Amino acid sequence: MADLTDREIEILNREIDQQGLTYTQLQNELLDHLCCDIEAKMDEGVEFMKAYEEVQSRLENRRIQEIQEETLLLINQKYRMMKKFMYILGTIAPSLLIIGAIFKLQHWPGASVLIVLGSFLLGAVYLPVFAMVSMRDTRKKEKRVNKTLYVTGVITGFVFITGILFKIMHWPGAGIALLTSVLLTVVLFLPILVTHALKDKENQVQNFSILIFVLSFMAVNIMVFALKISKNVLHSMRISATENMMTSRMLASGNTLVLQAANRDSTLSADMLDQANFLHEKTGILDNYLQEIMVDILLATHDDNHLAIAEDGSIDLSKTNYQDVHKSTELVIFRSEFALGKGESLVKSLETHRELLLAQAGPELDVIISEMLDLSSEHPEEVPWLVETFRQTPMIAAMISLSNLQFKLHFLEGEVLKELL
Amino acid sequence: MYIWLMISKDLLKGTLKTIVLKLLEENGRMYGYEITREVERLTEGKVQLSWGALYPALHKLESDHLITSEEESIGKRVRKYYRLTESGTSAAKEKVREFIDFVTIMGRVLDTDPSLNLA
Repeated sequence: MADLTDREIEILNREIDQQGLTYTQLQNELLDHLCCDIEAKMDEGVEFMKAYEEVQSRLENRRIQEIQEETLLLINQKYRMMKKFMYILGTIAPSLLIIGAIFKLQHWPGASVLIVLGSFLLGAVYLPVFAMVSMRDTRKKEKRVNKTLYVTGVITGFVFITGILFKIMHWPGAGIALLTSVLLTVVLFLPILVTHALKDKENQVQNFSILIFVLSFMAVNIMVFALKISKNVLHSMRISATENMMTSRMLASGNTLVLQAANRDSTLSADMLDQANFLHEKTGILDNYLQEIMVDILLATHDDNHLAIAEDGSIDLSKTNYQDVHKSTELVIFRSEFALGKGESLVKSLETHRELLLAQAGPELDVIISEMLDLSSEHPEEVPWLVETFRQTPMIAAMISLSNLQFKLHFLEGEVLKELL
Repeated sequence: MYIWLMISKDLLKGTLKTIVLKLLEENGRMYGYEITREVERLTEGKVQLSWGALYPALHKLESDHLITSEEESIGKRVRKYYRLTESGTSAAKEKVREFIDFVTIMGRVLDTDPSLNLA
């Protein structure tokens, strides 16, 4: 069998090269094929130049380029579809999330559906497709693909997105998912990413940015743990506030009955009766003031909350909304556009009332009074009682504190009345 | 760009992959030129594969992981050998069986062989 000389091969190679092939593997194959063809003809006794002329027709009219195009088209079909899919998803998923977030903020219906769908597309579809496309791109550049990096990245990202989704939706298991994603990041993903970044000298800037983003997201992740009061907590807080209100109402009506009976009782001294009536009146005023603050906070939270306030001024907390908002509490207690905050005067009234109670009660009751109406705080210098109780306090928690004060007032009034009468 | 002699290119286009898989199944590893020569020999020159048809098909089969390749330097040039993968071996059997079924059915439909005409 005839063997082509190096020079002859060089001529053929240049000929193919001129066709502008970029896919090296194909170029080598076509060269070999061409050589074999010519060698076969030379075996039949044809001169190299003659044989070359015969096969030359194959190199005409951009034929080789067409072969390359068709080859690339065929082997890239799946890849191109995936890439297209990735671009479309990459636009849809965040859009759904953003629209869902706006809906959620505005409390419009449908927010949950949008958020769940967007998260699902992002975590379960976009992330794996992106990893596949990215791995393919790396392989195309004839570089080694760090499969572990992609697999751990996709799993960590998926668990993270799931955790955030569960947290937003108040589904059980959010904490576990978020914790798992933090653990996965620290134990697996970060070490692999750092080792990869150190090895990969070409894309240092890119790898560094990815690292920074992963770290930042981990911080966000940890913050989310404590970010929002869950629905369950809000629910139990509502029950607790409602119970305070109910108990203080019962105590108040009990005190009223006791006082009515005492007023009819002629054996009691007029002085005692005056004291008792005075206390009852003062308690009523302070109770009304507390109720007024509560109504103010409710209305400052959202206009819709007027539905929760009955004509007689009593509050039905199950009809309130935006229970986790704390701006309104601060507005009413500390300072508002229209008026000075009611906190200061509340503290003053409470202190005056405490003095009144202490003056009327015997030494045994004094201890209880001081304890129950204790307005001191852990650090009175920096953080007084008012700030400690109402700064950054969600509406529903302010309701608990205020209704609890009402309860204490009526309870103490009852105790003092028992002593007096 | 296809050079099919005697047999129409449309007819053969869909079966090219089957032919390649079957040849690789029988011969172990082969390179492109070898495949065209083998097809020519088996069909007594009636079917000549153009490289415009062969190479895209080979690369497609490779990207589908039905065949793998290895390169060998022969003097100044590089020769690329193909062989079946595990899934390629089963795909070869499947495709050949499928094609024979097809030919049999077509034989009946087109009534070229009276002995197969059941009516």
